[in-house]
Amino acid sequence: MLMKDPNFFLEGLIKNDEKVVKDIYNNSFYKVLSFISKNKGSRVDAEDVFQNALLQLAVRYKKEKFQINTNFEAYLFTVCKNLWRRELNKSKLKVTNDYVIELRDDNEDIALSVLEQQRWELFNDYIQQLSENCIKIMSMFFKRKSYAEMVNIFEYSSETVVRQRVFKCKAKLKEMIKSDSRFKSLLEL
Amino acid sequence: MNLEDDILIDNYLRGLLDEKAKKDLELRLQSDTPFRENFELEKALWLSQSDHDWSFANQNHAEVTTYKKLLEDENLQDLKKSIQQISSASNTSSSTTRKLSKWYYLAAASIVLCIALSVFLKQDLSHQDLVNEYLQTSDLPSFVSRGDTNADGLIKAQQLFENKNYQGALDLFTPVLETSKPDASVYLYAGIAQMQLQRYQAAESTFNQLIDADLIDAQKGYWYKALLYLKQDKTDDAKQVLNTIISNSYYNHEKAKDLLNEIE
Repeated sequence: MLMKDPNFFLEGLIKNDEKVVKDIYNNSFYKVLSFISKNKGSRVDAEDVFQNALLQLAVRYKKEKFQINTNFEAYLFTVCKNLWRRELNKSKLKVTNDYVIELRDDNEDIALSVLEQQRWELFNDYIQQLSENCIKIMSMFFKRKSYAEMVNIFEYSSETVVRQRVFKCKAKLKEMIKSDSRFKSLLEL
Repeated sequence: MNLEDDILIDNYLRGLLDEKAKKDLELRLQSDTPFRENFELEKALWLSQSDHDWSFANQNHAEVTTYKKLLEDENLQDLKKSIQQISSASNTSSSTTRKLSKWYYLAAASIVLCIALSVFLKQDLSHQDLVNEYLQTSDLPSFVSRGDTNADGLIKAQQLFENKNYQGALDLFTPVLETSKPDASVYLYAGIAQMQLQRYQAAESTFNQLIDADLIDAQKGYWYKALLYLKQDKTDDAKQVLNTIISNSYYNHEKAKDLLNEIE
């Protein structure tokens, strides 16, 4: 498919342009289906995730025009991956008291997922702005590697050194996130 | 934020604190605002960036209502219907999976059946779906910007192909195939177009011609022939071709391994 401005697809979605929606489906659904099938899901799950991802993008764009800085397919795939991660973790919510999951309708779920995706993007934008070394360290940190494992991976002299490295990288990351205008509203999540 | 507090929060998130330390931390969250703000950010980062967790939003957030209202608007409801229509139309081509989906709902009523079926549903990808997926991730060479004066017709054919007008594309590719030295890409586009038009014999013959041709890219013919067999559910033939690709390290031999795993 020929490269198009990502916003062409967003415009098409909010106008419910059938050709655009079909193109998006044909170009992206099978990749999403493949990913979800390999990660504990069925075709019905993939269809739900795909539909909710498109509605998420549409409602977000409708509220406020935003710019996608990568190609549309890659962006949509990330949104779908996050939605599936969200779905797989919903069971954890049911055991906490501050959420009443039964009362949520589909639209509420999509509304919440918009805010969550925005927060994920805010974090991810700044992780990518860290130094190459910090990106690697933070990636291990988020993969929940223990400090002992990180000592081996990065060949540091001790766990204390790794902890200091993580602390510094994380401090830089948090400083950048906090200075962003989106932060205040998204921290209230 | 000092290193000591950082280690404390880190241990809490990793579930390494004992009950007493956990309680102390939770108590401090109520009275120490800067500590709490830092904790909330650490927690959100920790949950949202891990592959196995997710950081959920608070349902009382002010913007939830705004988004909900917009979602209830007529045009977004229409969009939802359009997506559902396109999705179910594309699903009729793989009726076996659709039947499974219906079973899925029935099975939900029975926990025992549900467990048995959910294991089964993990292998939900039909051959059709696999072929579509692999076709999409296969990079076909482009005729654009080759500086070839004869390429205009081919560029037009490629555009028709990309717009899924396979008959139109084939009408332009076929005469080129009949010339003395067609490019390997012409065989590929023509063969895939024939495959999408369900002219399987013609497609097989096109890919065989490519395999037999004295061209650098001739081995690409094997890959598409494997997909062609799979599309027709000729699983054994597909496996045989995939094994040939793997053992000779032909084009896409890594993908061939993945595909072989998925159909076995």
